[in-house]
Amino acid sequence: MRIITARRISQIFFTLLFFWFCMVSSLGRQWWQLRGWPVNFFLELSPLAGLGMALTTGTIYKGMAWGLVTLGVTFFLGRVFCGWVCPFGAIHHLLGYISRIKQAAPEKVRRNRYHPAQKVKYWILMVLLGTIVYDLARRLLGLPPGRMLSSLQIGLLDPMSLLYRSINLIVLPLVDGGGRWFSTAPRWYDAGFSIGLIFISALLLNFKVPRFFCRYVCPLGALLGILSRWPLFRIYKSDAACKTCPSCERHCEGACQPSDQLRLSECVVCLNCREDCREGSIRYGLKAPATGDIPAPDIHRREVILSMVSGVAGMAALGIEGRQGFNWPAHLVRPPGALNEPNFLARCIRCGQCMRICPTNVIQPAVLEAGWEAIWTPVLNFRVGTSGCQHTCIACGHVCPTAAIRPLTRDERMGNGFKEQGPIRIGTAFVDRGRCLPWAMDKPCIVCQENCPVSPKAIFTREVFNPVRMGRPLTVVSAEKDQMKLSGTVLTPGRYATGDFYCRISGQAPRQIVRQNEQTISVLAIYPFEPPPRAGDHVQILIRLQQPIVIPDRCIGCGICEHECPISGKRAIRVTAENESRNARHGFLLS
Amino acid sequence: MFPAPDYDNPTSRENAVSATNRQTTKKETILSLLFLAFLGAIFLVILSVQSRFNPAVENFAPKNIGTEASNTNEPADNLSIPLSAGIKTMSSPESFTPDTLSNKINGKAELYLSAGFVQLQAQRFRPIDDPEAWFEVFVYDMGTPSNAFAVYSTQRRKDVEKLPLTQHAYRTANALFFITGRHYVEMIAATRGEVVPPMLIAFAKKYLGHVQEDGQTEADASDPKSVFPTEGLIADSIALIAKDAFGFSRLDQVYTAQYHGPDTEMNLFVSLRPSSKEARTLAEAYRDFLIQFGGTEVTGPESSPLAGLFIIRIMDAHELIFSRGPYLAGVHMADDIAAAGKLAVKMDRKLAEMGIAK
Amino acid sequence: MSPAVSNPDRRAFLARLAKAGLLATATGIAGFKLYDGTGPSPSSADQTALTLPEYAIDDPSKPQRRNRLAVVHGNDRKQTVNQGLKALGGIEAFVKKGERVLIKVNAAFASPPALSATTHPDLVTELVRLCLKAGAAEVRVADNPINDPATCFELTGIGPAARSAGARVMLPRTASFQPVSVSGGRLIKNWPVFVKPLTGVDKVIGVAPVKDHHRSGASLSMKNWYGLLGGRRNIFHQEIHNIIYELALMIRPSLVILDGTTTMMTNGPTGGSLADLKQTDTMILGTDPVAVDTYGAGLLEKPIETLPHIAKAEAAGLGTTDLDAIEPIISNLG
Repeated sequence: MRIITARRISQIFFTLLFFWFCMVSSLGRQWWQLRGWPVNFFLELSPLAGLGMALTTGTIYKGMAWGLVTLGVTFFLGRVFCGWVCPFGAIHHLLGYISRIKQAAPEKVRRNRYHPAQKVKYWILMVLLGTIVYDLARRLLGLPPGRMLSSLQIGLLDPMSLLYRSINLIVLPLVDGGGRWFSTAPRWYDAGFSIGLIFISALLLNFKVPRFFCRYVCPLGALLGILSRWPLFRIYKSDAACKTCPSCERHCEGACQPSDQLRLSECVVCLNCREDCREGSIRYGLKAPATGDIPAPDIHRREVILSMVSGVAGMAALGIEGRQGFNWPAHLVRPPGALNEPNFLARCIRCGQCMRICPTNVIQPAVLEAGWEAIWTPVLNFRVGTSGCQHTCIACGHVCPTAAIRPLTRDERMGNGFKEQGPIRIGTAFVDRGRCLPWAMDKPCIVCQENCPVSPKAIFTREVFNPVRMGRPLTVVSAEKDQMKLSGTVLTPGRYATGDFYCRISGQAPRQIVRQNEQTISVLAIYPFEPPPRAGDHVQILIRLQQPIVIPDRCIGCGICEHECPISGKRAIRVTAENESRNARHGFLLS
Repeated sequence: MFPAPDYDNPTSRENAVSATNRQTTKKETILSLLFLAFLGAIFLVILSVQSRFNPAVENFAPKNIGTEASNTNEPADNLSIPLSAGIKTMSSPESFTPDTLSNKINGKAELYLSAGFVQLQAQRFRPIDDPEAWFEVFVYDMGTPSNAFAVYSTQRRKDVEKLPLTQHAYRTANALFFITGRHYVEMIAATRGEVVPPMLIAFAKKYLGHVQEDGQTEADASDPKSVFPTEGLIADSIALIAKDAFGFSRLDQVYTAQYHGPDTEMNLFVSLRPSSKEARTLAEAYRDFLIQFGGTEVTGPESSPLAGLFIIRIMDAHELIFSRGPYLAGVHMADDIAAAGKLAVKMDRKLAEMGIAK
Repeated sequence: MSPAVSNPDRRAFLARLAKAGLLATATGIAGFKLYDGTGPSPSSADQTALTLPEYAIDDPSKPQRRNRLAVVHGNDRKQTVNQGLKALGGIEAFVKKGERVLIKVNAAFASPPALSATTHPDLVTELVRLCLKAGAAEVRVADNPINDPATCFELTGIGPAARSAGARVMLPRTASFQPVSVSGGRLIKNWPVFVKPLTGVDKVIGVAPVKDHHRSGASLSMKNWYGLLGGRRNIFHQEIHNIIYELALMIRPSLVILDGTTTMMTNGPTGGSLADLKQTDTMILGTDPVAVDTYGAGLLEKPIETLPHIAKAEAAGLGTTDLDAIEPIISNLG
């Protein structure tokens, strides 16, 4: 068997495995559901995310340690991850292959030639690392937090985060139609355009240049490229037989010039050159190449410094916006278990796993509402999805690979045995009295109170009787027992007999109207007017309303009330992040 | 050194010749296969890892939703009772909802349904060494302890032996009946015999030890029982009719008790209504109902040992009805009008002693 | 591959092996050291909270007749404060040579001195002068105002007065605050407090005007410490008396001075009109903040019962409301 075949099988294996992990990421015990599938495996394999997190938090959290394995392999064997494992790379490889099907060899070779723009990915890596270099310095040197923003931006372009995000949030929901296989309901995601645009661009650019993303953009490739300076095994040209044809570059994936001086940092160990060389001159082994090679990427110190400085400057500029202080965005409701904002942003790699697993589809990728530094981080939007945030659910924290959302137990989420802290709160609901039906429009409704899931409920209602406007006042003509004949406005039959309307005559409590015609009203037989109304008495029709009032001490911000509110545009009860457990400064309650 | 490759004029040979004339070495094949084996190993490890469920999945769809006191009110889908020593299950657990209850207990279903029935779980058990001595356990989830008391008390057999199992428990020759929390439990053995009662009692004790009570104790359920005067009360005769008491749809949650009368027993009933006004209204409504069905009101000196007492003669018996405060009370189907009147007065006095104003 | 590996190849190979191996080892060690298997904890407190030291020169719970409370009647602040200090043993009883002193003023509002909503600059000048005369190494004047800090210190006259007398004015900055917890307190837990002016200080003197307050009833010497709180401190208005009591627990000053020369009788704490003021010509000084506030409440003509925070402080042993028992030294200066 040729080694090329093994490589292809390896790429297919890991890509299918990746797609499998995306498909099973929904809560359930069946074999096609989450169970114990290690769905974060590829995120964990990426040492870029792990490195970023190690710099911003000083820890390597649990599974992220797999990145060390990738690094180890890279130190000794080169960028084998890129050529053999990375599913995103495999997709680019495939599309690149398709793009050259009808091409002649010279054309193929030309498209695989090294291009100076391949250093852009190193700039991208430096910019991303620059965004956290201040954080690192602060921690090592003990500087005060100051106004510099702390945030991990690596997830924006880390290939694994990008791929998980794109497949889970864009491709699978589109393929799945109305939620037939991969989830129980159709999934909707904000920021679909921005995520999808980047993904499709990366795919389509392969038709211009094969492995466009890998060669020009991928910061993980850049990191592995820098770290594969001294691999034990590498591609080398044994001098004797080389005819400089350059047939070896027909299918070179990394555009690394194996026919001349191999650029070690670009080589993805696809071994296509070895396969294509008719003379057997290209080998993969321990020896040094005959013509020498270029171990380091073609970047200068000045470029490195400038890139890092721009990263730092970007963070400084964002820090001035004050979103970590008084200017915090009120509508930024984060998932339950999320750490407070600086710590959250130091860990979130925007992989979208929490959005994928959320059974009610309320976790959404932010566009700009949480600031430029928090693009595609999880934000709850209660208008989307099937329900609010179920208050017994703990799914998001248990799929977050970096613990930006802490894994909770159900007891901690609900506050059982956590007397001092109480249940985890993600915000508080506020009734908009200008929009709420019983407050503003004299229409009965208590859907929010009915659906409040906590016990005792966090919404109570206050009963009020508001008079119904009549064109001409109603006066009693005659009355007996529980029935009255009236003069005045002619009433629409049945309109006031819904059970919510009462009528009142002076000096007595209101009686519920059970039947009503154009000019007659009957009240509840077991509770008639006592004494009966006399002719000439004025009758007032009242509507009984229950006006909802939130009890902030009990509200956990789950958003079911907002979800169920019949005012479906701008809801009459809305959750904002005040009183969220993760940040004591956002509270307005004393205890 | 070698000249740099000429990219613009590559040798044209490659189009004509096959892709490679390099031999695939044995080493290459071995390495490739070894690598594939490595991939296989990864696959196997992943397969073994997937059986260790993510805690989020355990939380979302736990294996046993039955016996733990969960925060939701979902009914259990299996009867996970720990077996006492020497007992094994004989059938798989069955579960019935209000719609399917009559499949199991036929006409008796109506009694449970009108009392707030939620779910029935039933299962058969037997001693390991005696297949003939099997018994069936019925666990009725009635929703509230009060409802459980209703179905318990209205079905209580006469002259039975009290069981020191729970506050409300009795046994017959071959069965146990008791209430625990909101559940009414029957354990009925197929045979009679020396060994049956102890076996059932041991099983019941194990069951009670396993079941976690929800907050309400039975004492809450039977609070209205304390208004019954104790003098003349026949022991363990207090029952609760959940709905449609005495054929009148508006009479619900009515407690009845038997009293010793001069010739026969008398039935005293009492029901706690939401307010005094409603009690009074209901008393009048019940009176009207009886009159509607052929009763006649009895007025006169003998009819007023108690102010506001209605006496209706219907079908050769007398119904006495009155209310005090939020309590509606009376005597049901009494033969002896004088004795019934005295009982009604006793009831009224007991209520007054408890501080209930007229 | 060629059968024999030549010497330069082997050297190069070993060099690469060493470098790759070193890199791998270093990464492995870093990974091991940084490995975190448990994840972040729920509490988001980044720093451990401080507790403030005691600045009191005596223990108010022990009955002491002298050096507790002095009351001086007169309309000249400089004279009345001097007389009061003399009655308590002179400034030397409070400030020793070489010590650092913080004078915590009320500069809450950008309000001119005539409206008596803030500490009077004459009082500040005199106190700074006295402290320096007693040999203080540094006198600091500070507050965390409600309105813009720089404007407040200027418009109230406190800033210029302090500086010209030789004191250091400390305005609040982000880095000046640190989380503080009060032992025995429930509200002040990990709450940002203006600790920079307190750092390294030996004596703390609180100076405040006597004012009516719409929410708490009165703003006297204990309420003055509200100006040390940072963050969104208005949240504590939901339990105003408890927070004042906890402030009294948090800071045990060396001396408090209540300026009742012009008392704000209504419309406090901002006032805004001379009609709100009454010329009560009284200066109250003491080491017992509870007693001082009790006397101040009298100037406002408010019964003590309407100011629950005073009772709470007394119950906690921070002082006494029994003015007769402590025998204040009362003087009259025309």
